[in-house]
Amino acid sequence: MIEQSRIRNFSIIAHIDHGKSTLADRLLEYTGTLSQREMVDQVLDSMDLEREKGITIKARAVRMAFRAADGIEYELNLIDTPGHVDFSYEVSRSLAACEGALLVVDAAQGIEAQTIANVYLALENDLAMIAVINKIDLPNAMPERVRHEVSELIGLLDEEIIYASAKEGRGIPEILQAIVSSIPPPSGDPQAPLRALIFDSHYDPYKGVIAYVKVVDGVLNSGDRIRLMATGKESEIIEIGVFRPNMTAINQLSAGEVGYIATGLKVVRDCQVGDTVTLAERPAVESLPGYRPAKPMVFAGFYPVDSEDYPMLRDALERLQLNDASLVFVPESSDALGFGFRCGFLGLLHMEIIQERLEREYGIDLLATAPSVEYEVVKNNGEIVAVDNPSDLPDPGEIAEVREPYMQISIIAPARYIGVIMELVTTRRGTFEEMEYLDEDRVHLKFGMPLGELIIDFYDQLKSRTQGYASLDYTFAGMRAADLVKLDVLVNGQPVDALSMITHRDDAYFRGRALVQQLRKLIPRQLFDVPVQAAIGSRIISRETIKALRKNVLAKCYGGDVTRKRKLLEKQKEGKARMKIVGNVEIPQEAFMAVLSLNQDAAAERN
Amino acid sequence: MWRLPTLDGSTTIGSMNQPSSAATTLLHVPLPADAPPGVYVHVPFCRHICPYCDFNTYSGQEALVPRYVAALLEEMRLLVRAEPERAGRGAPTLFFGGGTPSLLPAADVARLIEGSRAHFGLRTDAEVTLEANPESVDAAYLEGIRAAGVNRLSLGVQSQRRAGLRVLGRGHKSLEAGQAFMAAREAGFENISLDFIYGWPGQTADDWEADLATLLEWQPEHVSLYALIVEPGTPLHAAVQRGILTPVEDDRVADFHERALEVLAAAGWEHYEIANWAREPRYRSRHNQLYWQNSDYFGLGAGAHFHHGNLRGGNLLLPAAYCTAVERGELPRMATETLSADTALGESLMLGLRLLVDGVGADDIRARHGVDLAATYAAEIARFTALSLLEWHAGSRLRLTPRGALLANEVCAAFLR
Repeated sequence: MIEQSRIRNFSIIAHIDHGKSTLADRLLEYTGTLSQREMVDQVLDSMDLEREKGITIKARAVRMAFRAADGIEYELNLIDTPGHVDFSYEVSRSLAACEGALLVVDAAQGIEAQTIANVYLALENDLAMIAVINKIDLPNAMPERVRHEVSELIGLLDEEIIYASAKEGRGIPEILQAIVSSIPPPSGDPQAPLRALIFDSHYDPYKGVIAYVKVVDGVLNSGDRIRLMATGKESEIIEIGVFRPNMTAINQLSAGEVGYIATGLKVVRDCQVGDTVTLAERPAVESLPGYRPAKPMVFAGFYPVDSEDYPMLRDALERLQLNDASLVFVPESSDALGFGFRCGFLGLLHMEIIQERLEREYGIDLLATAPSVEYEVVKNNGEIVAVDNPSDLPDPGEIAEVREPYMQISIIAPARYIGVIMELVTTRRGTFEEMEYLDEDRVHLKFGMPLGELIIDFYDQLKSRTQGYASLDYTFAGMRAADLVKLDVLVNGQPVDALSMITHRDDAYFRGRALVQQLRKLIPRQLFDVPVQAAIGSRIISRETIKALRKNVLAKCYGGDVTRKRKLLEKQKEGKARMKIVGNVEIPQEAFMAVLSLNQDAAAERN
Repeated sequence: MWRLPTLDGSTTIGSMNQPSSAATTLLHVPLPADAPPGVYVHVPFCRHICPYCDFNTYSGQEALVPRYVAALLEEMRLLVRAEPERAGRGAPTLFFGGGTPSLLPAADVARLIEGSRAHFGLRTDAEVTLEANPESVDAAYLEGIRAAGVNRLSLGVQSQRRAGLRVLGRGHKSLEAGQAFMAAREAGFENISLDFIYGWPGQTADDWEADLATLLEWQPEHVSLYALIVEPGTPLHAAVQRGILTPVEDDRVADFHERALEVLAAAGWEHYEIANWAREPRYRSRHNQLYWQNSDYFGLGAGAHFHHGNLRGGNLLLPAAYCTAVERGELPRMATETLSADTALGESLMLGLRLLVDGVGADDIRARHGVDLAATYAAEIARFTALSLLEWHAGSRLRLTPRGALLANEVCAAFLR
């Protein structure tokens, strides 16, 4: 067992693409944790999807040994953090497991919105900070300017700011040395009852749920019986160990150390991030602060394209849930789409990831409805119901008030984009709160905005209007009442429940019009005229007609090549089979996502 | 109980719900399993390839013609050896399609007709069609093939508008088409079919009106009016992709189709198949009807297709590879597909519904596939009759309405299982 004074626990805070993974690789390589031969690029991001999206989804922890300038060998635990705002709670728990953090900033890009949010999280957790100005090898690097930006943000000593190029391996020993000298060792009490913080978990088919923990107080031995303080679950430990970076079993984890517990639990839901592990025999009195059960914010219906895949989709969701405590789902059925699930996610990225994993890893052809948020509806009789599917909104006559989740959003961008950002935000019912210059060119803008507006194409719009320069962060700021109405879509006179949306009354007309226009383009012509209408209650606010198809015929004989002709028709038929039929109308899958591309059109309409 | 159609169209078969015209009756005779197959001969050579064409054709390989003709004659021998019974039934039709069959010397056409008589028992009253391009025929040639036994000429006019011929990349001028037609008449052809294409990029309503007027003025016996299809892989497709050419919108093409319906109906023509009109019912293309009736046919030559009972297949595509295989004494087959009962039924519907006058007879379907048409496809038939795309004619014949004809894919696809 190593003395606490020789342990350093740290995280890396960085914006996407600022080089976190490469830096982590270099640290592992330099400390010999992995030989160059074993080195797979970007070891920390072990899921394919992460590597493709260039982000870290699941945090991991790696133990390294480093002999510092004083000749003593230190144990360094790098706790990786997810790099996306959807996972900010996970980030906060990872940071809570550390005593220090490396703030990695791209020397050409400067600080971004999420980085600032995470820096504040780190400061709240009293972490010692070391700034790494990375990518100084880039021709457009401005290390001095970025150094100034960093100093403005957090006052740091000169030796706490390091210039580096992870790609070229520059600055690596300096960073390791700074970790040892600037970050304090953990200070838990090894004699106290066990308290270990769960900062991540994953499901292993052989060992059950693996909890990633930092032992804050006490000692954990293999064979101990543990208790999870929030969920109350108890279990016999199967194994404890550390990541080097592969899982390596050991006999004991004591105060200050980072490692894993193979808990023997069956679902990650029983072992949630932020919960405290203690011993069943000698439980701690008080759990560690900051626990919050995972709460989905964004909802969407997931439906199998082929209804026969329904059981497969259920199995796949159950399996993903084993590994993902923040994914929730309940069966739902739609007149238009048949049987599926209403799924809840931490945010849009989380939704995209789940969607892609279902399609890629489980081979399910999936139809996802446009994302929605969870509304709180106060009925006239005082009853409050939660509505996460627009088509479930009660009758307007029964509603006293509708409340929607409201976010505080924070945007960092070059000052020349203030105008376009303001415009975008105000068309999304956002309200300006505060502006602050980070330097002469970059501004930090703060707004309030309903989450419902944020999840519909806002980030893409922000990126495209600012040529990719703006960065975004947001946090939940409570529920707020608003004048919201349900907008229904009728195709051939039949309401299509999966296309209903909840929108502000003032936007309903524009959105309704944009939506029916969009649908007119997306729904192929049928064998008869098809009216497409938008309605609020029984009032039709917009209408378009898809004229009947007139011609679809093969002229030629192909010299008796009947097979070719048949194959062509079979292909047409297959295309139709992938569509959903509502009121005798074949509706292609893209139509169900039409809501997503609306705001742009609606905004253009208004201007 | 089955009787075969004869050339003069006089045969009548006693089936119930008799439509008025005797010729109509002839054409919906359900073909029994032992009906004699027609013969299709593919001639895959062209002087140049038209930019819209995606058929199995090659330019610059005319030097292969003698070898190719010898291979066709040899393939006839091979087929007879492989299927003596089928070949011995007496072929009712012979069709030279292409490519450009009129690139074959008249003497070769004669040898191939002779070969068909010898090997497939080509009947003396058989319909013998040859496709010709206006620029590749002259009076002597036409007289030669007429004497050889070709009794039906299919002339690829495509358009008489200069802009049309240019955008379709045709090798002839409008004057030449008229000359070829006249020469064919003079050579004694009394059954001439003209091919026209409509919906070519840039075509106006006036252009189409002019082509329809030409057609009526010339008074051929048969016309095929094809809506242009921009086929992937063709130069036309590439030009459309690159925005050089703009295809005529489908709705405009539908207008053109409907205008042709009006003009030809007013002139008393019979619209008997989606793209085909006969001046009189007896001038319907008997060979092509074999396809639509889902009958059997031999396919000879590179890339030619055959249908024998529940087998469909085709020959090797490349002329040289085709010749080599035949010269080795092998049937030059590329692939053969065995059709399931469902597929065969679907094909009978898909093909038969193209026959706008005859449609598909419930009795024929029962005799051929052993199922009840109305019961098997109750849902499809209900849906399309409600939409006025299908109708029951004479009680037991299911056929497309005029509007249904333009939407045949939508209807036919639904009948495939």
